[in-house]
Amino acid sequence: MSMNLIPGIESTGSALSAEKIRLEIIAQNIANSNTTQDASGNVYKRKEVAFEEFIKTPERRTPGYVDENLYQGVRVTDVYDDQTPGRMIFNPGHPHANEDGMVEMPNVDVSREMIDLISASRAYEANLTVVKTSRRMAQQAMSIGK
Amino acid sequence: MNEISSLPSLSDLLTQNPNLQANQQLDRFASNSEIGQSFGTSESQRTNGVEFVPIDKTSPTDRVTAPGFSNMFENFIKGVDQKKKISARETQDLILGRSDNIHEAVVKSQEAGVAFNLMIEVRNKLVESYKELMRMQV
Repeated sequence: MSMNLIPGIESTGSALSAEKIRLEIIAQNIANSNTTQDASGNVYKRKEVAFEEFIKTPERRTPGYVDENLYQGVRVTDVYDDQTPGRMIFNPGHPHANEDGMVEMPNVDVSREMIDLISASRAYEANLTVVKTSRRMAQQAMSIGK
Repeated sequence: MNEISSLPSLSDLLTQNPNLQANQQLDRFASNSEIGQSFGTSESQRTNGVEFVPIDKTSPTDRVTAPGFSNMFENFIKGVDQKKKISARETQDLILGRSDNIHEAVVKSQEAGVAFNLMIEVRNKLVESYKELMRMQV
């Protein structure tokens, strides 16, 4: 028997997971803001996440447990590279410099990442507020009987 | 329970078919319902059978809900237990490093907590109503 006592908890839970991944990607971008060579030998490209809505049926479905408990959540479908070219700086002594002595820096703009960071953490916070509020709603509903 | 309530009412039968004997009809009703049995024996009641109809309509539903409730409550307790187990598993996964979703574990434990509180509230109500019944003057 599956009960849905806290309204919206499944959707919010999925949003929390998605925002967590977004935050991880932002952290990765900031960490690699000076990385001129990634695992495949190219300069590091800024990563971004793509979110997608998805509809999920709850686990452990029991008979008589119907459609209204399908929930719409969010998930990360893709982590993709931002293809804008990075800044070229002249540094002939750098091991990753090309024949002209130019080094391509990652296209990560730290101040932009900070803005994204704030946005992600605020979104996370908003979803946490939903959890708190809906839990309080459930508890207040129970206090009717007292 | 629908079989009895879907039967044509006694007054309808009597008015539609004047040849029908009121006594025969009452015997049939009485054998279908406990309450009908207790009332159906009195001779004065047999003659004006119209008053039986509302009693016969309510009694079957009362009988059906009684075993359903304990079953429902048992399922409910199982559901609460399930939530508790899920919560424990999530927390364990987090502590053992198998999962890194803090919110998942916390949300599950909150869910389990709310379900448990609900169960306690229902139990309190049940115990209260039992005590109320026990206090009843006979």
